[in-house]
Amino acid sequence: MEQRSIAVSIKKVSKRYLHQGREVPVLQEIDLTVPQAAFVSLVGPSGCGKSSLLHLIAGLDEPDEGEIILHGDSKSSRAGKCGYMLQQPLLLPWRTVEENVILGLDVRKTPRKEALEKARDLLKRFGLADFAENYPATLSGGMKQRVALLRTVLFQNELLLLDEPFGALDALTRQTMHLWLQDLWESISASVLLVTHDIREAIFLSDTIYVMSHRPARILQRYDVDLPRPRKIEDLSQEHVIQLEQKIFAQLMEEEKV
Amino acid sequence: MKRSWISLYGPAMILALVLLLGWQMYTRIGNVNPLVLPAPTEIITTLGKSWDTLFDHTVYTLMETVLGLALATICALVLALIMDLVGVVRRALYPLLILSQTIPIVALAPLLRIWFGFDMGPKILVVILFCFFPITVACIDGLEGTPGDLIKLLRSMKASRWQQLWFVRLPGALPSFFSGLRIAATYAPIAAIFGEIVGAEKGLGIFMQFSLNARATAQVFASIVILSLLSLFLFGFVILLERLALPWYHSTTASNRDGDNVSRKSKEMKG
Repeated sequence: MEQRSIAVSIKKVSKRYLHQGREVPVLQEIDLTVPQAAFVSLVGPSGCGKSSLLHLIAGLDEPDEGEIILHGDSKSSRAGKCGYMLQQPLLLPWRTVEENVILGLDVRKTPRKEALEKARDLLKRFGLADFAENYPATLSGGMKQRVALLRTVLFQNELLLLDEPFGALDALTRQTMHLWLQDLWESISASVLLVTHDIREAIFLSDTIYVMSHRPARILQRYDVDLPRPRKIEDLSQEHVIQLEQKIFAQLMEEEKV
Repeated sequence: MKRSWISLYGPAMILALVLLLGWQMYTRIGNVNPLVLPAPTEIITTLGKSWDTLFDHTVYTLMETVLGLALATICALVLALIMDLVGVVRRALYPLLILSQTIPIVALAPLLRIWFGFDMGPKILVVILFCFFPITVACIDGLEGTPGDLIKLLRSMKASRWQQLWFVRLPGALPSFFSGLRIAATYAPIAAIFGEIVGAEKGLGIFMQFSLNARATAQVFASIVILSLLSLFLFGFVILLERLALPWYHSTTASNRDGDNVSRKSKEMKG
């Protein structure tokens, strides 16, 4: 049996979308498991349907076949039970940073005062206290993404669904974000499912990596990343890590050709 | 760097002064009949002389304008919200709304006088008819401009439709709403004048009409001056309201208007 309990498990999930009057299969019999407090990544060629899977898990849509079991429950509605973060930070320009962070609690009707206390505490713990009362427009891209992550965490810290959260950032900022996210993840012990097309990002952050095929997306392979934590950027230059990166890279190149 | 006040507004002021001076010289040197074209100085003297009467009429017109604009705003907001929330209402109303704008309201004003009489009511109605359309359209555009991903985010938080509206769509539509309100505010005084010209007990419009019939051309010009000032005042008031209501919008105008600004049209997002 499993040693750890399961945060989300996806069993034979298939999904078709209507595209110009035609049903196009996007996901095909996806099997995937995110254990409690594990960091799992999903890499695949761009446009393969990785985001659609997160969409389904977040409860914005239902699969055509298969089931999604969230914290042991496959029946009830999944909306509101995951922290879902999209590629764009989507901060509300009329709310200050701390007010943005509490958006999820506002939706849940948490009293303002209590919500703001929680937000300030979180911002302080993760180095954003100085920006709490700024408007988002004054922040850099990396900062906005941190705020968006904290908003996600404050709403729901058990299971985070991150959809290419660092895709729009420059390489250097992205690397600092990886370290920051690792810290965050370890201190709140959340389960994470990250969608990315950056293989190094996936290796650095994940316990497990699933490689997806070209559309319609299937799971091609599952890799476990054998690196002790906390990880450092230098760890990525270890021999077996480089080999893993190249293996996944070759696999994705093969898929891009199809 | 911010430009100084003088370099910003100086050129326009100097040009205005030169034009006024030219006008003054033309009437003096050309010996123009003041019943045809009075000199600027004469207009100012008339303004002082008939101030008491003018003031009375101005207050009346101002009341029509402000009441009309306020009611138009309320109608427009309610209409935009209902059209946004109920698809059927939207499909039913939108074409009729456009159609309503093809009716020349100027031609409608005399009819309104026949139907509703000479008092303030029909004038306010003219102002409403002029003003509600730009506000309604701006509001609907603003509500529609909410990025799809933002709605996804809210839905993933299990936000109800009302919460989506309250937390995201309404505040996001405010800049657009104010653009519409600014346009409406410039129409409003003119609409009131239209309403009055066809027959009224009081107001700048009917005063202008009387003055014209009495060949008191300087008084007509004096009324025009007041009307312009009234429009400017109203426009300024709306801008002030906007600044108070949207501090975030103006503090970020220069630096970072796009990025992830939610009030703008949804940017192309990665799927």
